[in-house]
Amino acid sequence: MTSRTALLPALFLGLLLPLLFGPSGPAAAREPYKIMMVLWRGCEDACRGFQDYLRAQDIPVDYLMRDVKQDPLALPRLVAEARAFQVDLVVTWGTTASLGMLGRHDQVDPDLHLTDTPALFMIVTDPLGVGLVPSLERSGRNLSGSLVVVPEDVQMRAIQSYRPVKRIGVVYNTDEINAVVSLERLRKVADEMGLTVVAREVPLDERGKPYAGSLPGIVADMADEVDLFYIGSSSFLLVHRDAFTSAAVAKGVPVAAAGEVPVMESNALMGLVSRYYNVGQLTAAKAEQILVGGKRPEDIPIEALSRFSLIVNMEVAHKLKLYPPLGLQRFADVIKVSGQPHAPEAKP
Amino acid sequence: MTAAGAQPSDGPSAGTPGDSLVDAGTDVSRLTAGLRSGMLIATLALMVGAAAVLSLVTHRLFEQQLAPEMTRQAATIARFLAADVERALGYGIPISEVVGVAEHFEKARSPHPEMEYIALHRADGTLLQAAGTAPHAGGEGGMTSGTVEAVRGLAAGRPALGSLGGDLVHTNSHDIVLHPVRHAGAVAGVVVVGIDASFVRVQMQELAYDVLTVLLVAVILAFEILALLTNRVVSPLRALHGLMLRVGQGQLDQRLPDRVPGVAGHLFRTVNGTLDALRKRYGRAAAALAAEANGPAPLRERMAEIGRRFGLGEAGADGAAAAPRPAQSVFDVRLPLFLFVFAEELQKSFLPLYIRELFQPVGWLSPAVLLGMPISVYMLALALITPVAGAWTDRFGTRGVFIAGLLPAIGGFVGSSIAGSLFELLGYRALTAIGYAMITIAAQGYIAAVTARQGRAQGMSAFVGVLMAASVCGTAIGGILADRLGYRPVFLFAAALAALAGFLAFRMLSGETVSGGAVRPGARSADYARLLGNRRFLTLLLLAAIPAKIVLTGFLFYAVPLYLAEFGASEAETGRVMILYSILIIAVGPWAGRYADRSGRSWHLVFAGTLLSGVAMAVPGFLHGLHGVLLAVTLLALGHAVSISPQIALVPEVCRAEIDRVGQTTVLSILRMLERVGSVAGPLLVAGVIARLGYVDGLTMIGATVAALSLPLLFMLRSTFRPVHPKTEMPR
Repeated sequence: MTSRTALLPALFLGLLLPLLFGPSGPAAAREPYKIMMVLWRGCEDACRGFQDYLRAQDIPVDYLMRDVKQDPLALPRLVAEARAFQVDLVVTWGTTASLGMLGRHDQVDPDLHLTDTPALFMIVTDPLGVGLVPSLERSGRNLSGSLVVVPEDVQMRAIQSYRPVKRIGVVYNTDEINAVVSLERLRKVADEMGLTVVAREVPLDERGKPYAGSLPGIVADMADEVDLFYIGSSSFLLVHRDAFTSAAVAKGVPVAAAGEVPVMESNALMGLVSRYYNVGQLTAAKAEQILVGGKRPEDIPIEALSRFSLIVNMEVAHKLKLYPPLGLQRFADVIKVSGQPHAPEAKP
Repeated sequence: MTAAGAQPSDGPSAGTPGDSLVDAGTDVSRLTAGLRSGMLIATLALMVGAAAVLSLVTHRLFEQQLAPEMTRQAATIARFLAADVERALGYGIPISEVVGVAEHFEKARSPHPEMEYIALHRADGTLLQAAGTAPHAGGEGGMTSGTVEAVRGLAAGRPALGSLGGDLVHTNSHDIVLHPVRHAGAVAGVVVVGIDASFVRVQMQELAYDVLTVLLVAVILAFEILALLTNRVVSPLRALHGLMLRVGQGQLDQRLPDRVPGVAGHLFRTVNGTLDALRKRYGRAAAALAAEANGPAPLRERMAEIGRRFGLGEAGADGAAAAPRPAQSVFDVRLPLFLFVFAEELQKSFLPLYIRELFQPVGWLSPAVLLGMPISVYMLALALITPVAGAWTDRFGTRGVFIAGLLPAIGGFVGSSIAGSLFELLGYRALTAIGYAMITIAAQGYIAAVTARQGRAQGMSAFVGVLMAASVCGTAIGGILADRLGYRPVFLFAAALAALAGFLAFRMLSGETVSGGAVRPGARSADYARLLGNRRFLTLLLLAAIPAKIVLTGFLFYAVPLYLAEFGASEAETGRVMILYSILIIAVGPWAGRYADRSGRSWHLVFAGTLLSGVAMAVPGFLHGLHGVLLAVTLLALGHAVSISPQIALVPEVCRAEIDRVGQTTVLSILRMLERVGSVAGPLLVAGVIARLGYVDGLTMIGATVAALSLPLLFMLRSTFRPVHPKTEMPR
């Protein structure tokens, strides 16, 4: 931990040098931190948000960028590499990469998983459910992280502010715990808000897997009973987003999603989401606490953003003639405005 | 207006023989009256003049600043809203299909009462959506033709009245501010903000009312202070004058008090010295004559005769008659009492609203009843402490009780200002009630002690006058303060005023004065029983006295502030409505008292007044809003003004036997004690009925009941005869 020992003098210099020699970057004063980023599909928004934040704070960092390109088998090698390079922090992106690098909290194998190096995970849908940590307040491990999912009650309120709806349609697959748990939470919230949840299971094919081909039919069937479809946490629906959302739009029923992908890359009308970029920044703030503030990762709670983004797919809004209320437009990220397809939101 | 009634007939001239001397006596009265009214007129003129100038300047400033500021704000809002619509159009939403425009505009409009509406028009002038009450385009004889024209003009690039978008445009119905909504290089629509042209006027009116109220209060306060100051000058003059009159009649055995501060004291001592010297010289002459044993007897007799005739007898200087003590008078207690009651009355216009702010639901009580609790608890504490306070006054003296009463009073005020819950407030209000009881009883005792028996009625009417004047001032000023500062600071202000009252009482009240048992002769339970066995007394109590208190505390103190707040009246307005009651009582009450005394028609007046107060409560059922309440309070005040002093005047007639046994004062104090049942029950009763029936029906029902209950009073008319004794005390 040479970098740790260098920390104090670095801080001193950081404070003193500007006093002695006028404005000069404190970055110059210290050896850069070494951060390994373990990515699932390249340096996307969360990764950029992370790096931008640290840059904005003038924290010098040398990055070891490791993109596993959706190959879990590449992960064990990276554990060894992190140790070899004596990095100060490992950041993992997504559920698979995080579990691969860090392991379930009750099945940690020091040979396979990182234990001695501080770690931060991000873009993990359900860190509790997959067993990454036993508690969000304290991980009990040498790691912390950030949450990406927006709570169901916040979701429902956002939907109501777009358009008052009573009957929420949910299609879910039973082979994913996430999907089932998310539905349960939704039912509870709906109860409190006086909403009705109409839920339908996706039938299984002969191999016992949910049958994607059934989605358009199910959606068409349910269209008359619901005011809006809601996509919660489900990898299955995320994969088959186009079939699902297009069928809904064809029936004139809007889709709201808990993640940004169905809105940005498919035909969901709206979604209240944690922007990955912002999640990356939040994660970076925790990195700062660990590297500069000297806090132990297990003392840093795993938190969600306090402000979420409402994304509206204007192309779908046009098709459904379902425009966001004027007041909402001030806060919404409106995308796919005709003439400027896939308009990127403003980025710092 | 209160002191004037008490003072002028207080002169010593009554029964003085000798024309020239009577003339001299009236001259002093005239002189003092002239002095006071002269000072009052001068003060009044100065204050009104200053207030007028100040108002004028403020008015101009207000108008100069307010109107442009309103326009500027409207323009800013129009610009932001237009930008919002432009963004929506940029998303490809057609202007006619933008959703939630009215809601969004309303959010921008609601903090600005002066903005009557905000509307989105198409470029051709047609109205799309609006927040607030936008006049319908094309409707009602081209009411908005001006708006349409202005919108079209702006859309066509012809700014209305040569202004660029955002400036004020006067149309035939409204002042409007416009801002274009641009899309794709053209004007697609216009955001129109309609400004209520009367807003400034209404604001000015509010301000004017407040200034007038403050002025009224200032005049009353100035009067109190003037009365005190002139009394400082006039009462030594009067004492001197009285002495001169008696000396002129040949009564040379007179003295003025020695220990009087200031010029008056110097003067008094000089006069005393002269008279003492005269008596001494007579004594020496008489002694010399007596020593001359063989002197002429007729001369000795002549000398003794002179001594008897002019009061120069052997007693000499020591035998001089005690002069009335001008150092102590009703005026000593007036100002402290006024200030204290003023402080206490500050809460009247908003107390129920304050309670509502602190409200926490209690399962077994309806919220409305809970809101009435603090008033009832206050009245209850007052009723329970009053007799005790009377006993304390007898034991510890008036000044001591007055000043000691400030402790619970100030504690109650400070507590009320920081109360965190309804129940805390209940406690603090009860504490204040204890203080109030101690102080008013002490003041009453002081007045009773310093006024001679025959002047006591006048003294008491001065006491009631101070209470009423302070009530007017306190309620009005309290409303204005609450309106501007919020409720809690008003209680702190009350505490400060009470402290000032205490300081003045400490300085001005004579420590020697003890009430001498004049205030509160103890009433025993046997006396209560005897009176309650008197059917006519019971009728008076149950059908007139108690209903009067129920209406006062339940309707005026509890329901009026809450009901007025229902339709958005400010605390200042509520205060103005409530002081109407006291003002009318002051103006009409004495007249009704005199009429009852002269005509002996007390029962008629009691009946008419009670009936009227019942009718008053039913008025809001027919006439809604502020005007209904105004009329109701007016009728209520008239009803009480004509019936309350006759109620007291009836007591000697109704309770002749009881008065013979225990005395009139005791009987009156029992009546007052019992009628407090109505004060305590009033808020709870009215609140309970309102909780079930709503304001209008509930008040109508209670009013009808009170009116119906007054009918049996008619039967009492048959047995009416003229009261023998004029009333000696006024109700409080």
